[in-house]
Amino acid sequence: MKTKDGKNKIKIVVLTPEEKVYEGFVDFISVPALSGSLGILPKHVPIITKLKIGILKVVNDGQQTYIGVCRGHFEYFGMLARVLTERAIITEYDSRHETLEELRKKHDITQEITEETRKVLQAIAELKNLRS
Amino acid sequence: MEKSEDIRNRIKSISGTRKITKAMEMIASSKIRKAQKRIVEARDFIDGIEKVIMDIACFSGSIENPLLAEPENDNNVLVLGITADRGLCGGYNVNVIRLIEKTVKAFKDTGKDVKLEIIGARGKNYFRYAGYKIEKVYENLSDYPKFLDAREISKELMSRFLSGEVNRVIICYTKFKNPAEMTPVLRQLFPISIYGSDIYGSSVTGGDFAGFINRYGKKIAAVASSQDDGAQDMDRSKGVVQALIGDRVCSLRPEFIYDPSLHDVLGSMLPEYVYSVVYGILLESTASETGARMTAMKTASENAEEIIKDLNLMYHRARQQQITMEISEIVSGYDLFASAGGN
Repeated sequence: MKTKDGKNKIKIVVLTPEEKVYEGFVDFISVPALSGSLGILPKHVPIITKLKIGILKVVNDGQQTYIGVCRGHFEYFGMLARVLTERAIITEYDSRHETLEELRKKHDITQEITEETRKVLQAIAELKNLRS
Repeated sequence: MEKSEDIRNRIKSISGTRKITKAMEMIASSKIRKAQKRIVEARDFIDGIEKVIMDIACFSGSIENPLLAEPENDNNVLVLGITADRGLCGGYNVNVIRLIEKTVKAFKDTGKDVKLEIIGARGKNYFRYAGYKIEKVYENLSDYPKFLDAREISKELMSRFLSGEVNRVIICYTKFKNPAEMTPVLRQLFPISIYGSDIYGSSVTGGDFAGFINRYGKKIAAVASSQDDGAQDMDRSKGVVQALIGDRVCSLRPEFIYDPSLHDVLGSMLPEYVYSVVYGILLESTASETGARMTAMKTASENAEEIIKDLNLMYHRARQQQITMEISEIVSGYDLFASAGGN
C-alpha cells in the first residue's frame, strides 16, 4: 500500500475481541507463527498462519515496536496484514520476557477456568438428573 | 379532598422514587457509552475474522468443515434465548421473551424437537412459570459479559452440534441500533452461515454461503481497488486478482500459503469466529438492556415530575382550603361569642 510520501508499506492491524491494539503502516513484520518466526516484507506472497504465544515485531522507518500476542491468526494479503488474537500487549524490548510470562500465565489461568467451569457444569447437570 | 399532610407525604415518597429513577438513568447513560465502544471493538474483530474466512473461501475454491455443513435432517433444534437478569428496563425482556416463545412454538408446530437454553434470570423465571423445560440457564452475564463467558457458552453448543445431539442452533437476542432503538432478532449459530444469518420473524432458513461469497466479493473488490497500490484489482467472487504487468492486464489466481495447513487454519478459525460472534451478541444484548433501562428510567423520572407538579397544586389547594376553613371557624366562633356576650 502506498503511503502519502509514496513509499511501499504494509498496513497492519492488531485486533483482539476487546480492543484494537495497534494500527499503522510498517516496513517489516516478524510474526510468531506456529512453525517458527516468519518475516513479512511488502509484496510477500499471501499467507494465513496460526500464531503461538510470542512477540510480534513491527519495524517502521527503523523504529521497532514489540507486541505480545496470545494465539490466534495472521493473514497477509494485498499489502494488508491482519493479526487476530485473543490478547495482545504492546511492550518494550527489555520487558519482552515478562510480557510473554504474563501472557502464558493468563492463558493457563483461562484454560484452567475453562476446565473448572466445565467440571462444575457437568456436576450441576448430574445433580439435576439425580433430583429428577 | 385529601388532607394536606397526606398529600405532603405522597410528594415525599414520589420525590424519593424520582431520585432513584434519575440515578438509575444516569448510571445507565454512563454504562451505555462503554457498551457502545465495546460493541464497535468486537465488530472490528468479527469483521476481521469474516474477511479472513472469506479470503480462504474465495481463493481456495471451496471450504469444508463440519461446522458449515447443512444437516441432513434438522429434527433437533436448540434455541438459546438471551434475556436480562434484572427488570426495570421497559419492554426489553417482554419483547425478547415473546420472540423466544414464538420461535419455540413455530419449531414445535413443524414437528421438531426443541431444546431451550436461557441466559438471564428474567427469562428463566418466565419460562419455568410457563411450564417449559429449560435445559440450561446462565446467569449474571448481562452486566459485563466477558470473552471467556462467550467461549464457554459457544464451546458447549458447538460440542452438542458436532456430536449430532442438536442439528441446528438458533439464538434469540436483541440487536442494538441506538439507545432508543433495538429489535429482537433470531440468528442461526450452527451450522455457520455468515450471509443471511440474521433472520427476522418466524421463518427460519439456512444461509446462502455461495451467494454471500458473490455479493461479498464484489463489495470487497471495490474496497480493495481503492485501497491497494493501483496495480491490483481483486474480484474475490471469481477468486482472481487483476494485476497490471507492464502494460498488460493479467488475471492471476493468488496462491495462499497456509501454515500449518488449510484444514488446520480453518479448523481453528471457525470456532474462534463462533466465540467472537457469541461475544458480540452478548455485548449487543447488554447494550440493548442498558439502553432500554435508560429510556424507561427517563420516562419514569418525567412521569414522577409530572405527578409531583400535580400533587403540589393539590397540596396548596388543600392547605388554602384548610386555612379558609379555620378562619371561617374562628370568625363564626367569635360571632357566636360576641352574640353570647351581647346578651
